[in-house]
Amino acid sequence: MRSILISFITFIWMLAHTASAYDLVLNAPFSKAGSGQLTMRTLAKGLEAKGYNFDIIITSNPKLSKQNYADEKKPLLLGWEAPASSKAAPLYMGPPTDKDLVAMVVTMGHFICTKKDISIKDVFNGKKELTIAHDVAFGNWVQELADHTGAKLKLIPYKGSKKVENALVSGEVDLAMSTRGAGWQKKGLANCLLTSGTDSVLGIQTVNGLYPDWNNNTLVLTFYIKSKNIPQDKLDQLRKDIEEVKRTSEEFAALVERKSWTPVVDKSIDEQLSLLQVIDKTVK
Amino acid sequence: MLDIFLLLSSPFIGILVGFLPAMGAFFTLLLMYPLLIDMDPLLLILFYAILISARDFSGSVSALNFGILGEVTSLPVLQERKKILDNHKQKEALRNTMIGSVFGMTMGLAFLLLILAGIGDYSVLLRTDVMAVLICLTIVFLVFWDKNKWYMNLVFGACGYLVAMVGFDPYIQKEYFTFGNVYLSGGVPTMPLLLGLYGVPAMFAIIRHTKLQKPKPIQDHAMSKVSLPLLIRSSVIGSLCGFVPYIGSVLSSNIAYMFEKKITTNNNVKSSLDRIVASETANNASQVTVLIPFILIGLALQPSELLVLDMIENKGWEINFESASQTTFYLIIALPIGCLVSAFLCYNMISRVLHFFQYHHKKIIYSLLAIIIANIFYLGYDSNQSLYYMLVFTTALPIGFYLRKHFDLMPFIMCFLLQNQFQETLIRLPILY
Repeated sequence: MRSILISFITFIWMLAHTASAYDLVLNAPFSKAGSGQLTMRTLAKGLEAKGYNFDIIITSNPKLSKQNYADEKKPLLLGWEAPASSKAAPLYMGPPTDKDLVAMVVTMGHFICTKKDISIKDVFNGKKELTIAHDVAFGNWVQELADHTGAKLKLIPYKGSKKVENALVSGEVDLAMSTRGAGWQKKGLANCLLTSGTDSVLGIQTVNGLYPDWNNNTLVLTFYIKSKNIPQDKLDQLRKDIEEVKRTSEEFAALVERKSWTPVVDKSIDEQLSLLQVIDKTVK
Repeated sequence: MLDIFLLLSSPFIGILVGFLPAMGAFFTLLLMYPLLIDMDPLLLILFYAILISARDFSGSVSALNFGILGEVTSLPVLQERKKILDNHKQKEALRNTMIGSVFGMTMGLAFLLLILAGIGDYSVLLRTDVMAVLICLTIVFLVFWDKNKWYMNLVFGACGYLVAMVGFDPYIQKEYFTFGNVYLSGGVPTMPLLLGLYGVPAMFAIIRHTKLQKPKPIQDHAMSKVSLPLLIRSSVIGSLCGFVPYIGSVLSSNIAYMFEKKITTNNNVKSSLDRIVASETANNASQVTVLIPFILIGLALQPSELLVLDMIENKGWEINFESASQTTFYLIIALPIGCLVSAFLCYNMISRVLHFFQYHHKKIIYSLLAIIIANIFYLGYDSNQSLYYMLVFTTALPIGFYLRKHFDLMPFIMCFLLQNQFQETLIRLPILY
């Protein structure tokens, strides 16, 4: 009798617990192995400890995720990345609004690094042509940097940051630009000369510090989440819970530390929206 | 837990692969995709290496005992089979080839260690120009893929390339062949396409082609010693051949066999034994060295390696000096163990294993077919594309069945899998130089 009673109470407790969980679908177009999906999964894990229940769908297809978002009638979260390589790219989506932005998760600047004996002066004095490896998505920005500063840069495009790293390590190029740069410097793989981020990391000088008058002196990559069909009270609570996960989750902190990213904390929704609009302006 | 179970099963699976004509490592990995996709990348590499080594063991054993050509690398054994059987030298042949195989594998591991230690800065291999040379070699091998006419290889290669182009191209900032369809925008999914076009038709080919000959009784005789110089020269030949893309292992056993044929003019049974030892030694050495570019720089030289690479990259595995050292360390431990288990199984339990499969191979294959279909559905479901995945599979299936009767689709598959690499190198090379 006692065991029946305990089982019954346990069952009721489990039922009550399940019923109080908030079920959400998190749809994201990232690659199944990339940093984007890892960020979303880590964040979702932190939120699940707070009673949320996530069904994570990684489509690896931005157009499909956009369509899923447009068609969805139930509560849905959409994980996204900005900026896209161009407005023609399927990944391009205009900045969110205060009605649908849930949270920016992290930002990361790009780093211009070298394995050779090259200084910032050598890069920008325009005396010698230098090859620079970059992700194919950010070639426009590198070209604009060269045009603005008079640097003689020969742009070599690669698909993905791993291949940019290979190019740097193999000595195929003089410079490499990637969000992984801080990690390279930490490991002693390369010396980073500049970062396109808003703030200096590991003492690496920012482009905006060097060229404060250039209107395109910041290039920041971000992961953010927007929502659909979520009531305002639930959305407010979700924003608070995400903020707390970003502050307190050890797993999230470890990910951010490992990748040398900057978590977006202590920023109001309006501040986050402004930042996303600035990022959007870099897309041509 | 499943990872460990799979790793422990790898010698058994490899042995089955070696027994069966038309099976092959590529197809086995396709069949096992649902299980392997969640495997830890390091364990997956070890699983693959042991499977390949076990496959070669059983390939020669089944060729010798049952006259089955499970692997092309066993062709030399099949050629010498009659003489060995007529002289009742199976047991000696089995023992000697086992010694040769273990020696070859050890030599292959020594090559791997030497290269890892010697090329501290192996990163030179990551350069676009090095990749371009390998791509040129690949194209030459694909054009002259001996199972089709050369112009058909070109047609299939071009088709594979075009199918892989479907979707958004970040270089050109444009979509190709999507016709406004959102699903096509993400590209053609690899697994449903390969399983429909190649995997499932190959399963039915196995059902049709698996026939066994009754083995001749083995008699005990005095056994000769295996010559050390023969083992060394065959291992070196095999180890070097392992670096030749796509056909390295086939080359290794046949070149070592031909080399022995040239230097031993005798046509007695001792020479026959030496020749098959040479081919098996070279074959096992090449199976280790073929892994070297894969381990060091993530470069796949065989279709089956491409699949493994695809799986481990999807798990976020990064190939660098640290991961290469770690893989090498575990390979040095795991491969000899796998080799010994395979040897034990091949020489002691071969009849039971073969008979089990002979009686149950249809059931096994039909069960796998059901798992494959469920898996394609699940993979699609996981990314909100179940219907699209099933559609790709069911469209590719009849094409695969039809074309299989007349052609080998490997050039299509290789170009489909390598399209990204081809395109990037073609775009980058003129900018760099």
